[in-house]
Formats: sequence, C-alpha cells, structure tokens
Amino acid sequence: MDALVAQLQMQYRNYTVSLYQQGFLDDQFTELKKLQDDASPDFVAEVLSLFFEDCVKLIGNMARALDQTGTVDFSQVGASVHQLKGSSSSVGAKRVKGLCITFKEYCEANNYEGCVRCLQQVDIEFKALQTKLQDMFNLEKQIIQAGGKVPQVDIN
Amino acid sequence: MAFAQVFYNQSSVLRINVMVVDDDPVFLQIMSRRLENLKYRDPSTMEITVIAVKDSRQALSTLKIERNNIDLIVTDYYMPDMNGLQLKKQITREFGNLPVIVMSSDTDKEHESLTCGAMGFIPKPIKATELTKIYQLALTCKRNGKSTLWTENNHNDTYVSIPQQIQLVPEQDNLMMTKKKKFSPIPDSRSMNSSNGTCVSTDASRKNKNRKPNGGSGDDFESLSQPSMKSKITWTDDLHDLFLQAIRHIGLDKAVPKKILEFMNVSYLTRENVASHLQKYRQFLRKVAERSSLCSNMLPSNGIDSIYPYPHTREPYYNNYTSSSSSWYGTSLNNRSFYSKPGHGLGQSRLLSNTSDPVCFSQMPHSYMNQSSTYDTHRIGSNLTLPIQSNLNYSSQNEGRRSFLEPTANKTSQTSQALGFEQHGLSAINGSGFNNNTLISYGSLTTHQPGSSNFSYGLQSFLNNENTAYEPQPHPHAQAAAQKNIEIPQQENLSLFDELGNINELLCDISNFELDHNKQQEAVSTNQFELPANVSTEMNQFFSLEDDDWTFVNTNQGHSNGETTNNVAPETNSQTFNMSTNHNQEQDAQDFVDWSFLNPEDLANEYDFMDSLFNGMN
Repeated sequence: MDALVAQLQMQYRNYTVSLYQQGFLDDQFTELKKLQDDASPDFVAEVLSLFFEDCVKLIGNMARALDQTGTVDFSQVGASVHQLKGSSSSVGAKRVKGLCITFKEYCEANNYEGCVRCLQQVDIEFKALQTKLQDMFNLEKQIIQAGGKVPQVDIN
Repeated sequence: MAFAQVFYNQSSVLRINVMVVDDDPVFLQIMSRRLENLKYRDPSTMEITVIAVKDSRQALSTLKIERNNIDLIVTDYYMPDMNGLQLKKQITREFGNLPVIVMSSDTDKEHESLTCGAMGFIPKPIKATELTKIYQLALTCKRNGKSTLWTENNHNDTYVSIPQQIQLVPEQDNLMMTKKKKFSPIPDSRSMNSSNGTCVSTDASRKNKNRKPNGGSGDDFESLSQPSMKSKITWTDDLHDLFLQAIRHIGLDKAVPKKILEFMNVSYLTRENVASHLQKYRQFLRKVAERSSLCSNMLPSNGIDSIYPYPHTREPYYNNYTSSSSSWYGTSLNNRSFYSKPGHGLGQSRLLSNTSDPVCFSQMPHSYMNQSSTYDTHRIGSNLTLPIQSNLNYSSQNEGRRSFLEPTANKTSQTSQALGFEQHGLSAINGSGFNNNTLISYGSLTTHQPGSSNFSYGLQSFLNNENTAYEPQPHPHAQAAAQKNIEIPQQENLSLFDELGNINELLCDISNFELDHNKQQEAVSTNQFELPANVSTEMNQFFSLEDDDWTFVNTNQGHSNGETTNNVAPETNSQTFNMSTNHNQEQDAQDFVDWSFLNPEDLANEYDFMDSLFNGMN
C-alpha cells in the first residue's frame, strides 16, 4: 500500500510540476492551493469549477458578440475578455490569461479575424486546462483512496 | 467585577466585516477566502466576515441593510453596471465616508481611484502582502471608523443607528441586551471598555467613547496595527483628515496636541507627532493668510465655477481653507468633517470647529449655506467654494463677500470659520481676489492632473492655479470659458441641504468630472483651465516654505522622493514646484515630522501600511 501511495504521490508531483512547466499554471494557482485546508478540502475544486463555468459563459458572450451580422461591438467583446482575463489570472490559468491579453489587443484594434482566432484558441486552451486539472484531481483522489496524503508540491 | 470581565473578553474579539464587490465570481470566492483566512494570523483578533457581492446594486442594497456593520468595502474597478469609483461615490453619497478600496488589474486606475477618495488602490492579481494591507486597513478603519461614526450625527442613517450603539446604559440588563446585538458587538463592547469594566459609564460624551474603547481594544491589536514609531509618521490624507476633524471639533484655538490625539484616536500616533503636525498646520495657515493678504487682485469669479465640477477629494485643505493650501491631504475622509457638525455644518467650522462665533453663516444667504454643507458630504470643496462662488458672481464682490463671510473683515477668526480658514484667512478673502483665484484654480486644476500622485495632486494644482492670481490676463479667459461651460449652481436649490448625503443635486454637474480624466476632462478642463505655464513659479513663491516642509505625501514614489515633482499637467511640468529647494532651506527642528519624503526604504516599518499602500503598491 505504501508503495502504491508513494508511487501515486510521485506521479502526482511530476504531473503537477509539468503543468507548471508547460505554462498551464502559475503561482496564483499555488496560492489558491494554499487556501485549501481541512476545513474546506474542496476549495480548489470549487473555485475551478466556478472558473470553468465562467469560461463557458464568457466564451459564449464573446462568440455571440463576434457573430453579429453587421458591425461587431468590440467593446462588448473586450469587456468579456477582460472578465475572463481577471478570472483566469485569479485562478492561475496562465495560458488562458496570456491568450486573453492578446485577445484584448485584437479587440482594441477592432481586428475581427484576430478576435475570432483568439476566441477559438481560448476555447481550446480552457478545455485543455480543464482536462489536465481533472487528471490532477483524479490523481489526488487516488492517493487519498490509497490511504495517503496529497503532497504539497513546491514549484521552484 | 466579573461583570466587567465578561465585557472585557467580548471586546477583545474584533469582528471585521468586509464587503467585496466584483463581477467575477471566481475572484470573489478566492478573495473571500483569502480575507477570511487572515484572521488566523492574528490570534487576538477576530473574525473577518466577508460579504461577497457581485455587483454595485447589490452592494448598495447590502449597505442599506448592514450599514453599520460593514467596516470596509473592497471593490473591483471594472464592473458592468457601475464601476468601482462610481460605486464609491454612491456609497459616500448615501452612507457617508465608508472606507473603500479599489482594485483593478489596470494599474492606471490607481491615481484616479485615490483622487476620488478611495482609501486605497490595489492592483490585481492581489499579492499576499497587499492582502495584509487590506487587513491592517480594515483594522484601522474599524477602530477609527467607529469613532467617526460616533461623531457623525447629522447623517440620516447613522443617526438612527448610532445612538443605540453608543448609548451607555448603566443597567445590567441593557448591557446584556446590547451584547446580544449581533452586529454591534464592537461599539457595545467598546463602550463597556470605556468604563474600564467597572460600571458602565453614563458619560455620553463622544470623546470619551471614542477614546477609551478604541484605546482598550486597540491594545489587543497593537501587534498588528501600526506600531508606534516615533520617527516616520506619515501624515496621509486620511490621517490629516482626521486631524482636521479633530481640530474642527475641538476648535483651533483650543486645539492642543493632547486633545487632538484623543480625538483622533489613532493608536500609532504620538503626542509629539500631533504636536509637530499642529505646529506645521498653524504655520501653514499663517502663511496662507499672509500670502492672501498680499494679493489684492480680485478676480471675477467665474472661474470659481470651475471648482464645482471637480469634486475632488484630493483637496480637503483648500476646500476647507479656501486658500491655496495644498490639497495634499485630500481624501474623502475630509468629508467627515461635515458630519460632525450637523448644526453648523455648513462648512463653517470645518477647520476650526465649533467656535464661539458660528456667525458668519448666519449672514449668508441660506442657499449658500445649504449648498456648502451638502457638498461636504461627499465632496471636498463644496463647503468653501459655494459660498465663495456666490460672492464671486456678484459684481460688488466685496460687499457680498463680506456679508457672506462674516460681519467684519477684521474678525479673521470668524471668516476663517466660514472658510475653514484660520485667523488670517479672512483677510485673504475679503481683501483680495486672491482666494478667489486660488479657489478657482483649484477647481480647475485638480481635474487636470492625471499624472500626479494623489497626494501631490492638490499641491500641483495649486501651483498651476496659483499663478492665475498674479496674472489677470488669463483670468478673463478662464472665466469666460468657465462661464460657458460650467453652469452656475442654482442657489435656490435648498433641497441639497436637507439630505446631507444626497449630493445628487449638486449645483454643478459633476458627473462629467467623475472619473476618467482622460475622457471627460478635456471637454471641460482644457478651455477653462489652461493656466499659464509660469504658474508654478508663482506657486513657488507662495509656497515658499522657508521654514517648513509642508510637502505633501507623494504617493508617486516612482517619480520622486516624496516631493511634488511628479507628472503634472503639461503646462506645469516645466516648472514643477520645487519643494526641495524650499526644503533644503528650512531649518526645522528635529521634532518636526518630515513627511515630505516617503521613500519606501525609509519606511522601515512595514506596518506603515497607509503609506506603503499609497506609495506604490510594490
């Protein structure tokens, strides 16, 4: 059992570190994890699901705004992008945040193609992040089920 | 004695309620958690309860319900319905001077936020150090805020609730009852504290209540609050506001450091700090008076109108003193002054507080009086500018002014009351257009300076505007322009007066000037307030602080070392008021607080959060 736990923990550590290294997550996520404790063991999961819901909603807004036949209201798109940027930054979703910054620039430049491209990318990115984090949570569950504790991962 | 014990224990638990407003639910959740977790760092505290609210409307309605239970408001800037600053203003309008911190990922909003009276600005993403600052700010606001509440007796909402809280009843059952009140444990416990746990004192004097309870419970948090540092006390806007409030309450002539200190009730402030600040303040007033008496130029005051549109909270000083006093310490806190003098809150003894001669106002046309007081609530400068304005509009300005200001020009004390001036202030107003000019200029100026730090803001504006006093030519210009663009307040609008908090009917349409300097200012400011570039030289003269360092806190640390040399409206940039020269010349005694330089490095003590908060959120 211990061997299993140790193995799982090792897997977990590596996976988490890789997420950071690949730029999916940044130190805001670390901070977020610190807020979780025994009193609220699901805090991170809650926040992240909130985030993903928010993503879906905002991406929907942006798509609708960009889909207007006629003149596109870039400020509206920009507002949604700004919100998404804020959320992603709070959560530590580094790639999404980076994309939002670019997206915002396109909005300000009223660049339709740029915006559409960014929107597609944002969609891809947040889904990818969702998958990765889901995997990470699954690992955590496995560790706990195996009787171990989820290790604190230090990101150098 | 056991009875007392109970109360003592109760009071040692400080509960802080923070309302966080943000349209981002993710952020709200995270922020709430972070804030609530802060309590674990300070065992002697407390509970931090976070009320998370998704938009401004909800924030306002929450405030309506929980007015006195919310100690601090932290709001996002960009929000769909009402942005953070608009919310802040609305809050101030309806609920008085609640401390509001603005957050944004957009750091450009910092200056604007601070200018509009936000207690602080925090860039997103929020670092842990910033969070600590919020916590400290909440603590301080909790303590000071309660005492402020107690002095506000002319605000509708607070008036209703405060007496309950501060009522000290000797009966035991009453005490028990108040203990049970969910949302007012602090004031109750504090009032208990004030009696030192023996019998509840029936002394309803506000000062007592303010002083002791805060002092008592303050000790518990001493470790986390600002430690008493004798050396580097920074007279931030808020602190100075409090100081002014104290002076107003006590009366300048009766103002002694000890009383001021008691009134202010700030734990880390020492008597020496207050003493030196008081001394500087007096000198400042003297200078203003001298200066104004030198100026004999009267300006038609259309320019004064310009003041209205700029409800800057950055100009408490000048608003109060109607002088080209630096509005360094402009904060919305200044508005509190109005609260404390309900009766003659007509801006009268803003500075000097209740004096034996509340007189001048009685001479004033009622409308003016009203207006000024209403302005007070959320706007600095309302007080003084209004009356002045009316005067200025009259051709026979002297007469008008005089009656307005006070019966006799000689009685400077009275005038000063009216204008928040000190003794010498009056002469300035009566004698010359100087003050008018300055007033005018201030109004225009402040809006003008997107670049300057909040504290230096007012002073810069001074510089800019000050020169107008000496240069008649630009004035007709400014006036003409001002006249066109700024609508003269209808003085008959007395409704303002009744609702002190109801600033909506501001005489001037200030909505234009609310937030974005960039957007709205151009329309107004450029034509009217183009001041000649050599304004600053005049200002320099005026402000020659040869023996004093009335420099203001420069929040723009990045630009200067605490002096007012940072970016200011272009026309004044070239001749920035060089405080340093004056500064060098001064031969201040050591005990003068040198608040002009706010190098972060100097601020060894990280608990000087107010300063660090404003001096660059690094």
